[in-house]
Amino acid sequence: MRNFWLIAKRTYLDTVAKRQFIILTLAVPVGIVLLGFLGYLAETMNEDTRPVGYVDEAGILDPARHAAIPDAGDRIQVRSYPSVEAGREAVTRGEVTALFVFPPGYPEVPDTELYYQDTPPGSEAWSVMADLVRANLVAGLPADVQDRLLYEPNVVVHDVASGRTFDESAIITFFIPFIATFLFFFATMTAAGNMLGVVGTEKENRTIEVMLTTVTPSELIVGKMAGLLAASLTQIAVYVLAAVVGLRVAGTLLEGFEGVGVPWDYLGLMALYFFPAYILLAGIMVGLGAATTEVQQAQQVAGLLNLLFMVPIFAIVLLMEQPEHPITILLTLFPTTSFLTISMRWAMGNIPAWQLVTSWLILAASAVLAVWAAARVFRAGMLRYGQPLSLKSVVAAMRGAAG
Amino acid sequence: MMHNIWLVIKHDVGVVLRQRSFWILAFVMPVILILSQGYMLLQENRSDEPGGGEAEEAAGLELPTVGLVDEAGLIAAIPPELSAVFVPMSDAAAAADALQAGEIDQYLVIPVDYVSTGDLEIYTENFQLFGGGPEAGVAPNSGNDWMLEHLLSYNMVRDPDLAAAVQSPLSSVREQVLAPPEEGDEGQGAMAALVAGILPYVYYFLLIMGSSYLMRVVVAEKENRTAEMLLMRVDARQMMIGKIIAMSFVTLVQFIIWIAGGLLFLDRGAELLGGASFTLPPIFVVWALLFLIFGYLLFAAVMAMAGTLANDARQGGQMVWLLIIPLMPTLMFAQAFVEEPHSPLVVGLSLFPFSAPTAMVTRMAVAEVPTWQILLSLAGVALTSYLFILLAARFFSAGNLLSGEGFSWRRLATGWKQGN
Repeated sequence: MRNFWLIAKRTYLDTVAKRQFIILTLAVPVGIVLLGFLGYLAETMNEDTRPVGYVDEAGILDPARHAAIPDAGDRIQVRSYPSVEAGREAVTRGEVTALFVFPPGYPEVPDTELYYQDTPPGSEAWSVMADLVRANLVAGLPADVQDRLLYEPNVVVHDVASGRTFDESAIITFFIPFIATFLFFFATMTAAGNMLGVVGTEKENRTIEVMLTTVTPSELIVGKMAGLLAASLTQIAVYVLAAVVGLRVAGTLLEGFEGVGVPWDYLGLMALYFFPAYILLAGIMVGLGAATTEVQQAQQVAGLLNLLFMVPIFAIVLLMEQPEHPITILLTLFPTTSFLTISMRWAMGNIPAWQLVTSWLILAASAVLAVWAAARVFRAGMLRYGQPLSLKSVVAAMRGAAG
Repeated sequence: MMHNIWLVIKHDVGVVLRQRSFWILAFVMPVILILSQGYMLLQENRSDEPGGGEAEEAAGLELPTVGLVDEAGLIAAIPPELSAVFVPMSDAAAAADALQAGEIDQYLVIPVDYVSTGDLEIYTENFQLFGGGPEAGVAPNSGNDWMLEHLLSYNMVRDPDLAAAVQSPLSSVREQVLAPPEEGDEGQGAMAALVAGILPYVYYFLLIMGSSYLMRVVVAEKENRTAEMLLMRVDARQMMIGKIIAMSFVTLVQFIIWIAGGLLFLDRGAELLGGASFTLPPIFVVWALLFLIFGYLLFAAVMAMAGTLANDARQGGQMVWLLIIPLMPTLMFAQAFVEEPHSPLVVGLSLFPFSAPTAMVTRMAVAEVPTWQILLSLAGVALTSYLFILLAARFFSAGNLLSGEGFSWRRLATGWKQGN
């Protein structure tokens, strides 16, 4: 037991003290903020803030009603033109993004014309125009009814099966598990690389023989896994802390983020899945490191194995749109994909309880199996020093242990 | 000298091509990408098929059944077109029973104070934020939310025509372009989006994989000490030239596999989407190849440099990140490339040498790019790769190749001096 702690502690300290680890840990939250900022910049730079023009041949539009549309102060302006010719010239001169022409008899005659220079106007121009028409059409109704017709309702969806509720902030909340999925993925993949290298490097520089004179192979492997797990947890703790602080700050500063809280239920669920998923990955990587003689060789195979864990990211559209699809359910239950799949599906809606329970049990069982197999392969790999293990001898090593 | 370079090329090409993982990646990666992107596109295409006004679209689909609990007393009549959707219920308890019995897909509660607050409640089972179909009912994002809005505005305005106009004032708009673009490529929009979605990934993998093979080979030879023996016969620079050419060949093999697959798919994909087949002009292929070659040389030079400085494969692997960063924005803003191919961000990315190989080619695939920009960008990439090859040659010296020291920023800053 003492050896186990020593190994775990050594591995942990060696990993977290590396400059690279610290940089990577801090760079990710900073990078996300930067990318978010870049995305925001790209979005606002592309925005067309010119007014949108219209010709009102029906005589129903009062431009002063622009003040009544939702968030009138932040919206683009409207400009009225007396004739289609004057409006078209304004479009050609670039004064307005586009020109809507409402025919005599509108709204009974709904056929509207839209003129633009070469690119169609953005969604903001359409929505301002639609809101202005609406504001004029409902002008004679009582004030609260007008509000109902101009503003979208606040719909809260209650899921009676799980007790969860989804409101308009659900769309923003959706991005949190989505980003978290990538962070979890990033942390585990970094750890997998370390895991592969930890045994590999020691095999290459032959310190492993010396170590094995005092500790058992299982102590060594489990100790190393525990050390690296602790390092990953440190990394994730930093991410979670950054996210919690970020959400709190965003909640007070940014419009639209007011109702967004920290999704503790999601974090709890992820914690439950993280440990077995991590141990499974660690088992696979350690076994791989043990079966090969060079780190480089192991890395190539590891690259392919990583794909097994990445599949849910490629299948994201399917997960989003068809939660009942057999492939979605398969990805939810399959041990290497369940962690990321559950993480993403949670954001998008309810996951039936039987799928949660079954997938967790399968994952946990696979994790135990992977560690057991890794220790076996590791021992066999030690005996056949310097030779890479073939698939056949890996299977034989596990069989031998079982018999 | 030529003989030595030739030997290096032959050896390195052989090493990579014999690796099973190379062939698996060459075939598996594009299949995954094309399948996922193609699926996404098919889904999108299905949802905006022509002639799909909301009501007509809904008529073709199965309609949801929604229990209606009107505590506000607002609903005097259900619009005839929605009479199959909304089922009035006496109270929330009755609606909950009906939901449990499977008689309705969900139920809507309009609270007493709805008109003053705008709050509505929907109760459902197994809710999915992005799931369509009857199970999603009339919830936000279900595609049927217009039914809910229509029910409410119909009863608040009490005039069917006015209600319809309030709900969608711009329902019938005929668009007229005053200065139409020279090439009418309207039907190709979807395929352009697909190309913009896939192309950056293809270039990303080609550039990163080819150049990281190079780095791995260099590091492996350092690690297993064959570099020492090689350097007895071959000059360090000959070795570098040989390796870069060898890995170019490997990348070319991959490029051919992927492009052949891509062309097959574009043909088939265009058929599936029911449009004219999407053709890339031959000049595009020439530009794409030029950007790939120079981009590859640039990345290869940087990776060769990283290889001489890294002490083992793990250290080398971490250096790859440095090169991945400039390629990321093109992957992330693929949508911006399709929508605004001339925005400052996109133009900037397509001119910056480290992102230009992916960004410019993606941009050219979706839009007409001024020739001066293409030339400037290509010249930038070519010049930068020339400079980096010169620099890499300095790093590629016996001193660095035989050194057992690990990577450090100090060595990166001073390593080139060893070549003197």
